[in-house]
Amino acid sequence: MEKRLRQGFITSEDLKNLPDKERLKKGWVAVIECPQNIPCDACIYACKTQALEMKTVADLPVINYDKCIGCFQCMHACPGVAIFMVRLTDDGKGMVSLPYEFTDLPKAGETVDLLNRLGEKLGPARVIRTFSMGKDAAKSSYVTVETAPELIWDARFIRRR
Amino acid sequence: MQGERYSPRIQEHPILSFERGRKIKFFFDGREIEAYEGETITAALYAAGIRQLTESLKYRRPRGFFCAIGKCSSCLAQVDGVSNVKTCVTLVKEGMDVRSQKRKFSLLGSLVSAALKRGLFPSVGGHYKKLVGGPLVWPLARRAIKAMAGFGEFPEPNPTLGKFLPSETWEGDLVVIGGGPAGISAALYGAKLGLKVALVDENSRLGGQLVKQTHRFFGSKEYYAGTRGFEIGRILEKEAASYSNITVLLDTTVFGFYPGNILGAVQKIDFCKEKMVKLRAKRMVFATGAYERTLIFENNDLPGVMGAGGVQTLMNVQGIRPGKNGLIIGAGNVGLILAYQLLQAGVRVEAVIEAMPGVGGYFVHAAKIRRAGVPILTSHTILKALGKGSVEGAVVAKLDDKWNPLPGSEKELECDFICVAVGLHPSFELPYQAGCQLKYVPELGGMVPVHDQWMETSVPGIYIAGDTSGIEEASTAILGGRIAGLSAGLSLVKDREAEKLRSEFVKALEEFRDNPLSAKIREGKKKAQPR
Ligand SMILES: Cc1cc2nc3c(=O)[nH]c(=O)nc-3n(C[C@H](O)[C@H](O)[C@H](O)COP(=O)(O)OP(=O)(O)OC[C@H]3O[C@@H](n4cnc5c(N)ncnc54)[C@H](O)[C@@H]3O)c2cc1C
Ligand code: FES
Repeated sequence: MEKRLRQGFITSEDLKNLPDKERLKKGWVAVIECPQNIPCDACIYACKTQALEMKTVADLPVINYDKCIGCFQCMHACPGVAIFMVRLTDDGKGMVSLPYEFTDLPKAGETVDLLNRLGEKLGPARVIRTFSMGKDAAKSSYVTVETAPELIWDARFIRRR
Repeated sequence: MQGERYSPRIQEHPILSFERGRKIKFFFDGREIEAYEGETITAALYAAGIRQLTESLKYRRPRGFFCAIGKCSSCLAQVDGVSNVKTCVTLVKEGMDVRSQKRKFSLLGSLVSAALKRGLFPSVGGHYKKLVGGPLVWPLARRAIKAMAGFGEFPEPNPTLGKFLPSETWEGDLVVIGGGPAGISAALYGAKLGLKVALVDENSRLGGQLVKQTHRFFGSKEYYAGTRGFEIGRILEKEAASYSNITVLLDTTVFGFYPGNILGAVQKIDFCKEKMVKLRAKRMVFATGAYERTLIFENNDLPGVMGAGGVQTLMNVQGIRPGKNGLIIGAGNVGLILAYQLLQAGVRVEAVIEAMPGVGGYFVHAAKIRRAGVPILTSHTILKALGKGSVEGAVVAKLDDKWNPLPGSEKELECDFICVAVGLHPSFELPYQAGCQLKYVPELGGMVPVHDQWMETSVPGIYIAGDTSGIEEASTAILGGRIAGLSAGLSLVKDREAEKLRSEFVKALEEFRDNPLSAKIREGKKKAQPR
């Protein structure tokens, strides 16, 4: 992984202790892709349920999926744009919410291309909604898409068609 | 991002909003150009598609802007009859007459240029030595050189310009030079101890580098982690304004240190209306930040090759896109962040080139652009910029493990501008002038004034903070600034609480640097200690 870090991407195999299917079916949960010891603890303070832990400011955040209530706050607080929200629906579809800090926000119902961590096309996805969190300078936009369940570990960006 | 039709002025931005002033007109070499009040001449020209502002004196190579912050002099033009105006820091005005400082055609000039190009004359700088001989030769030579260089015409005196305003003197306890996160923090903590403080910055607003940063900053919650850079700047600016014992002097450049703890500064009131300001204080904090390094490659002087900070200023302060498709040299944090900011401004990024085998910046900054499809070519370098008059492409090549370009690996990339983001160097000139001992510490970015943990230099009463004390980041600049401000104060007044606070900040700094990625900084800070 060390080698990939230096090239600017990880793969889904690098993600450790992922939530199981059961947890994913219960609702949204955060996936934290913060594999480098940078001095930053913004997510810890954003979490209202103490689901995230970090000993010193340069540690990696560790998430407890039983405590995570899927509130999106850590995704919004992360300066690295490195937190994504995922879930599975009852009828077995996958859902991903991801930060999208660009002007061409897609519309609900639109079909977009899903991209992986290298910007490669994974396949189509349907936009469920776009939304923003925070006000003024703290405002950021997010997009929720519905896709094949196996893609939730790889879909990290979208491109409008 | 992908949808908007290309227009140089950014109308829609996911994070910033640009409030443009009244629409005005001005002239460039006689051509009428549209602009908005509040834009710099460079920015307005750039938006009108004019990249070449002048040409180099000797080889007549086209020159465009590079730094956009008044440091490099590659944007000089004649404005309303005044020569050598830095157009990147001069605001446009209705009816302004801007002229490129190109040489008029003259046979002698053409012959000399041709001779120079063929190497018939002594090399760079040679004319300084060759033509100065004798009181008879020099006046003639000077005239000829000026004519050939395009500075020969003495402009008609403009009666509205050039009036000297009465100078001003400020006296107090502490002068802080530089209004970035480090300087503002130093001023705040000096003021908290009751000092009479002046905070001086050459820009028209406080914030330093922060003003151009749209991304949320890392760090600890206590030091604005998660807040966007420009917002941190605003918060600090507001706090400084709330202290009645802090005088903020904007548009004021400190140009020299004089014996008796005096600083000379010049304050810009309007175009060609400036005021001298003499600052005398018992203590000084230099927090002048850093300047950008450049890189040597063929045609690196072509208009469209710009510093990363210059691009940020044009794009995030002036609201003007630097082009349609950019190439970034350097995958440190600055290069990576710039790539993301370009995407946000609706500009394509062809690639980020990095000579090292891996990215130098944080992984997350790299990941943000990779998932958006921007290639990062590690172990690559740029060989040359292509284009006539302005950048039209670049040739890059792979490097072998001895840093030599691999023959046959050259490839041409398309781009209409190139950003050089190869690192920063502490700006050490003023402390050096004040007699502070310098040391070359590569881990900190180059020459730095030697300083102790209280941020005091080798000259008692002179302190440094922020990037001037080693290239780092905003959180550490804030902490270093606070320590410097408190140290300056504690050398004048006794205060137990403040002493305790200062030790806490020193500890916080240590904690902050206590991670593998800060190993270099820790090493550098050790080297920069006195003795
Ligand atoms: C692209 C980029 C991204 C960054 N991202 C991050 C990040 O994510 N997190 C983070 O923590 N840090 C980040 N930083 C770094 C951070 O912005 C700097 O380390 C910090 O701004 C340094 O603060 P400073 O006060 O020392 O200098 P500056 O912010 O550079 O301020 C110095 C000020 O002094 C003024 N000045 C200089 N000379 C004179 C003079 N003679 N007279 C008057 N005024 C003068 C300058 O104009 C400037 O306003 C980033 C920097 C860049 C360029
Ligand atoms: S001084 Fe104007 S571009 Fe550098």
